[in-house]
Amino acid sequence: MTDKKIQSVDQATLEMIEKSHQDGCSTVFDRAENMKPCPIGAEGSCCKNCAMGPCRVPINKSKEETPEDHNKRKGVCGATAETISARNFARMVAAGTAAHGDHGRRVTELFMAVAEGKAPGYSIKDEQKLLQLALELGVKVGDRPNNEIAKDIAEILQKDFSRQEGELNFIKRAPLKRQAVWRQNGVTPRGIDREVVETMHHTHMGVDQDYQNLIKQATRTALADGWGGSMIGTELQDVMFGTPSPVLSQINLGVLKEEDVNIIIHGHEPALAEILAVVSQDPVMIEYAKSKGAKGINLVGMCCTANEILMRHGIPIGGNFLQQELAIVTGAVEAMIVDVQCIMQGLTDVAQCYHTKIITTDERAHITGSTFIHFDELNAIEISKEILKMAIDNFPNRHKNVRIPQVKTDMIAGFSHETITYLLGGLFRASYRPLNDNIINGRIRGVAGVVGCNNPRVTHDDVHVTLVKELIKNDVLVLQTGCSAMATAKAGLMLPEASKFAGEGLASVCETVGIPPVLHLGACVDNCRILTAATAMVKEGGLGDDISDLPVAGCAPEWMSEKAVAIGHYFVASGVYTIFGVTWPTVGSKELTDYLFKGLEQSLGGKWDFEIDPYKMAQKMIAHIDLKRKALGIDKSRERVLYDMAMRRDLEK
Amino acid sequence: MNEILKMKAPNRPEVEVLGPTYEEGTPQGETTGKWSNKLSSRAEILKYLQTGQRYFFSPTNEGFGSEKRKKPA
Ligand code: SF4
Repeated sequence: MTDKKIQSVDQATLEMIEKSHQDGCSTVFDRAENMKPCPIGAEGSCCKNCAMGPCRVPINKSKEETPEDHNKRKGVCGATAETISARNFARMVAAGTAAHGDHGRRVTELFMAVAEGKAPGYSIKDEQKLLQLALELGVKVGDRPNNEIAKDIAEILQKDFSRQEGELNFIKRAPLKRQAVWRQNGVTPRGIDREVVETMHHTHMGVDQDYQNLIKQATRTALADGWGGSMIGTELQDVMFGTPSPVLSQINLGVLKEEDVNIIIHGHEPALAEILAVVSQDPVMIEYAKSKGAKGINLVGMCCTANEILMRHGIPIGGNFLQQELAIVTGAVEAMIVDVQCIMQGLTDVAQCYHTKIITTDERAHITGSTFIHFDELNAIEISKEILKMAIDNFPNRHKNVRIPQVKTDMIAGFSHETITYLLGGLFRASYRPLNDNIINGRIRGVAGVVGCNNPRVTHDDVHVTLVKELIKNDVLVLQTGCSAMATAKAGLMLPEASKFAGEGLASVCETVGIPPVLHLGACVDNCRILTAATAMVKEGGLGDDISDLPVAGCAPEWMSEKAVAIGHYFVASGVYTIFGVTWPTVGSKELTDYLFKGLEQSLGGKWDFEIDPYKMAQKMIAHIDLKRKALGIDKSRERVLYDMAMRRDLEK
Repeated sequence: MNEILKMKAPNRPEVEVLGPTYEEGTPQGETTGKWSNKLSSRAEILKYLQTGQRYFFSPTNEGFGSEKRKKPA
C-alpha cells in the first residue's frame, strides 16, 4: 500500500472518496485502480479496423528496435506501426471534432429558431456580439431588426457544416500569414462534416497508408473544430446568452446546501442550463420546494456546462470531471441533469447508493438506468419546469447519510476576448496594446493556455495546479478553460489576490489592470476564444506576423478525451507549441511521434510535445516562450522610461 | 482615500504616485462586470466595434499592427 498514488490534491475530493468507501459505493477512482490501461492500446499500436484483426504491433521497450524488428511490426494487411498509430490518432481528432461540430450545429439550429421567433424562453441577449458577427460575415446591418440579422447569420454559418468546397467562414479571422500557411499546406478546412467523414474514410482499412498524409487530413479536421464547430458554437452562444464578462462565484462541493433541493446540471451544451437558471428562480418553483420541506432550490454546475452558466449567471460550480460521482456521494443531490459529453456511465451505479435521480435529456445520449426526459428547445420552459419538479419531488427521499464537505473557494470567471480588450483600455481605448507592450518590455514573459480534462491515472488536479503556479511564478500569464480552469480556481488562483503567487512583473501588470494572473475563458468549446485572443495579439503588432511567432505555449496536463486531442491538434495547426501530460497516444511509432513532435513545425509552425512531470512541463513551455522572445528580439527585458522635459533636453544635447 | 505612495522608478529618484482609489469590498448585483451595458444604442455599439475591435472591423480596411503593410503577407 505504501506506493499507492495520492488520488487528489483537493480536500473535498479526498473526503468524498473516503465517504464512498464507507457507503459501500465505488467510483472512478476505484475503477481506475482495478482496470489498468491496456499497454498496446495506450501506445496506439492496436488496430481493429477490419475483421482480419484486431492486430497488435507493440514496440519492444526493453531493447533498441532494429530495422528488421521494425519491419516485422505489421498487421495482417501489411499496415505498418506508423499507419496504425496515425490512423488511431486521426480517428481521435475526428471524434473530438465531431463532438464539437455537433455541439456547434445544435447551437446554430437553436439560433435559427430564435431568429424565427420559434423558441420561447430564448432571445438575442447580446446585440453587440450579433453586430460583431454581422460585420465579420458581411451581413447588412442598417436599421434592420436583430432577428433578421440573426437569420442571415444562421444561414451563412449553417453552410459551414455541409460545405463541400471552399473555406469555413471563420478561417478569415486568423492572421493573414496563418491563412497563407494553411493554404500552402492544403489543410484549410472546407466543411466541418466533410472533414470528419473524409478522416473516417482515410482511416478505413486499405485506404490512406501514408502516416504524413493521414496527419495532413487530421490537421484539416482539427482546424474544422477550432476555427469551425467550436467557434460557431461559442460565438452564437454569446449572442443568445451573453458574451461573458467578469463575475464572482464559488467552486467545489461545499457549494451544495444541506437544506436546499440540490440540482446539478452536467454536460456541455448550455441551452437547457440557461433556462434552468431562470426557472429555478421562479417563486412558484421555490414555494413548491418549500412545500416539500426544503429551504429553496440550489442549482449547481458540473464540468463544462458549469463553466457556461458560471460565466453568464455566476451559478456556482460543484466540481470538475472527476468529481461528478463524488457530488452524488454527498447524499445531498436530488437530481443530476445531463446532456452530452464527459458523462460517466458510472453515475447511475453511484446514484443507486443514494436517492439521486440521473436525468438524461438528449436523444444522442441515453444512459441505461437513468430517467429520460427529452429536452425540446422549442418548449424549453415547460420541460425545464417538469425536470425541476421531478428533482423537488425527490427531496423527501433523501437518505440519512448526507455529508457535504465544507470546502469551497471564491473565483472570478468570464474573461472573453471582448472583455480582455475592454479591460486593457476601457471603452475609449480598448486594445491589446498594454498586453503586447508588457510582453515586449518583459514584465509578462509570455502567455500559456492551460486547458483540458482530469484523468485518474494522475493525481487529480495536482498537475494543473503545480504547472500553473510554476508558470505564473515565472511571469507567464495563464489563460484557462474546462476542468483545468476549475482545478486552479479551487486552489484560489482565479482571484486578483493570487498575484502573490506570480512573478514581480506579471503581478505588477495584474494589479494595475485588476485581474487575476490566471484568467478563466470558459468551457472546452471556448478554447477557440484563445485562438481569437492570439490573433488579436498578432494583429496588434510588435510580436511578429503569425501566431507561431508569439511567445505562447499550450498544455493539457491531465487530458483524457478525444476532444482534447482535437483541441491540441488545432492549436498545433494554428502554430502553437502544445504539450500533453498523462500519456501519449502514438509512442508505438517512433517515426510518427518524431513527425508530430518535430516535423510538423517546419510546415505548420506549431508542434506537439509530451511530459508527465509538471515542473518539467513548465520548463519546456518557458524554454519555448524564451525561444520565441529571442526570435522576436525581445529576450532582454527593457523598462519603459517616461521622459520629462529635462531628460528630453539632455537627449537633444 | 486618496493616499499618496512613494515608489521607486527606473532611472529616477523616488517618485510620488496616487495610491489605490477603489472602494473596499466585494462588488454585488446582477450587472456587476457587465461593461457592455454602457453602450446603449446600435450606433454606439458599431462605433465601439470599429475602434475597440479595430483589428477586425475597422471601416478603413487598411490593417493594423503587424498586418499594416504594403505587400500582403
Ligand atoms: S486493417 Fe490491417 S492492421 Fe487493421 S485489423 Fe485489419 S488487418 Fe489488422
